[in-house]
Amino acid sequence: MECVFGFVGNGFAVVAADTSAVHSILVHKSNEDKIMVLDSHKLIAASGESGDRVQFTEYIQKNVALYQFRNGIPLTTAAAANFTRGELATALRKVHPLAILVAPSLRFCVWFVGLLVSGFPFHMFLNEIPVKFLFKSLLIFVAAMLDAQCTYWSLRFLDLANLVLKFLIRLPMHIFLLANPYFVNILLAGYDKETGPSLYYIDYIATLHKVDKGAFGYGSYFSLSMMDRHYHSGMTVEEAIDLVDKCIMEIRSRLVVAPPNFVIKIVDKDGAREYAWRESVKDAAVASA
Amino acid sequence: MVGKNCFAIASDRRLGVQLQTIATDFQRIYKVHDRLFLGLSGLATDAQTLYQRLVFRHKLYQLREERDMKPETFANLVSAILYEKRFGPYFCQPVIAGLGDEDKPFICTMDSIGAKELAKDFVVAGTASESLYGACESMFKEGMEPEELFETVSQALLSSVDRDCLSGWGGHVYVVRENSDVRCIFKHDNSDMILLRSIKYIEKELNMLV
Repeated sequence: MECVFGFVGNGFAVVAADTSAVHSILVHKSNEDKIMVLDSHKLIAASGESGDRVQFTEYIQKNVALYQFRNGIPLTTAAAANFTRGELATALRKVHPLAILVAPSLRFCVWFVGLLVSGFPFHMFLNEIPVKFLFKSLLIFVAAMLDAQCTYWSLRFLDLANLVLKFLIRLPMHIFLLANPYFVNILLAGYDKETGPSLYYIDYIATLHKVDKGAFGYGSYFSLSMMDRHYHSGMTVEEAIDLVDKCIMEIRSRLVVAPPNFVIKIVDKDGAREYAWRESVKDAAVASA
Repeated sequence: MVGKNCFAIASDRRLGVQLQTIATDFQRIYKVHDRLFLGLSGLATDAQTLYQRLVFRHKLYQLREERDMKPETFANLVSAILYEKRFGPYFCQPVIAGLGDEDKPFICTMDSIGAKELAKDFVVAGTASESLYGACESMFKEGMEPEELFETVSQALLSSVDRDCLSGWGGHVYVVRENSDVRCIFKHDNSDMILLRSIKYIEKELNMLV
């Protein structure tokens, strides 16, 4: 499971992310860099579905660069965070064009299948004429009943589901069946000359909040608690890396599907750069042909 | 909650994802203009989107009409915007509080599709709304002055959110009367102190009655 966490120190912000690219039970690679350098003084650490993650962060990176080309000055961290949030929020409610055809046809499908089953010409298997006639009329009656029942039950089930599971199902159903959101959770770390370092927590449903420490994924259960215990404002780089290592140790020892390798990146007045890798499993070198 | 020519609006400060707390300093109450405050509970992303849309509409209104929106008008605007999304709603419940003509306080709340609920005394919204109803009903009095209103609102908020695991971590309280507004943010560690102070206040009143 993808673990991303970060926090703000004295004049810098540090983010760490795991580096395993996983597909169901298979680990494709364990040196995938999930922290993208957005521009000279911003880092975007993303976790979530791989395709969305790469595509969305590249989209944000190119748009941030475009702003700089057009206007001659770079975006502030707050502006970049709000732009990212805006893109996620727009995608959250934009209904996929094909989905408009799918949703109303669900009821129709239930009715249609019911009609097919009930209208099957069973009377073809009978040879005696009077019995055949009786059976056919009975079948027509049953088909009409089943048709009505199918319509009734499909309507009742859908309305009942709507009522009872308002928050549990309706929002995810709306998101997953109709809308086409990006399933990426983002921690945006940046340094501005005027406001100093900052860290923004951006959820996949576009919740934006400026935080001092944040984390995503199963690893957040461990890293947030470690940070709650050991974090204080104005930490030095050494103290910060020590805390990051503590969180990584905790994740490695307590998470059942713990990712083996992590990358740590830091952003301060000198820019955004890679600080270190914490590897416990190295990819085997490819043998030369 | 409504007082004498003033109103108070309060919220908790927790931002969470189901059982996990993400932040303890989340701002849920926004100022639309000096005499109109909007509190948005529910899904944080929809609260932020809705707030941005409403501020945009209000700024346009200010440019066109060259004055601030009345609270009743703003409530109608919020209701209309929420009902626009009837079949794909914003999952948030707004609480609107403002001072109308002649400094008469106006409060209302709505559900997530814009059904307005006007009240003369108090309105509540959020996950702790049932406990808030109980606490406000028992603590509310007609015609409270701003200081007493602040105490009442903070007590009601604290005692209700203490019974709800999804709310808490302190509170924001805004008390607004004409020409000024009093704000107070009390953090989690201070909440017990305020409780103690207010209990003494209530005891004093009881002694006077006896």
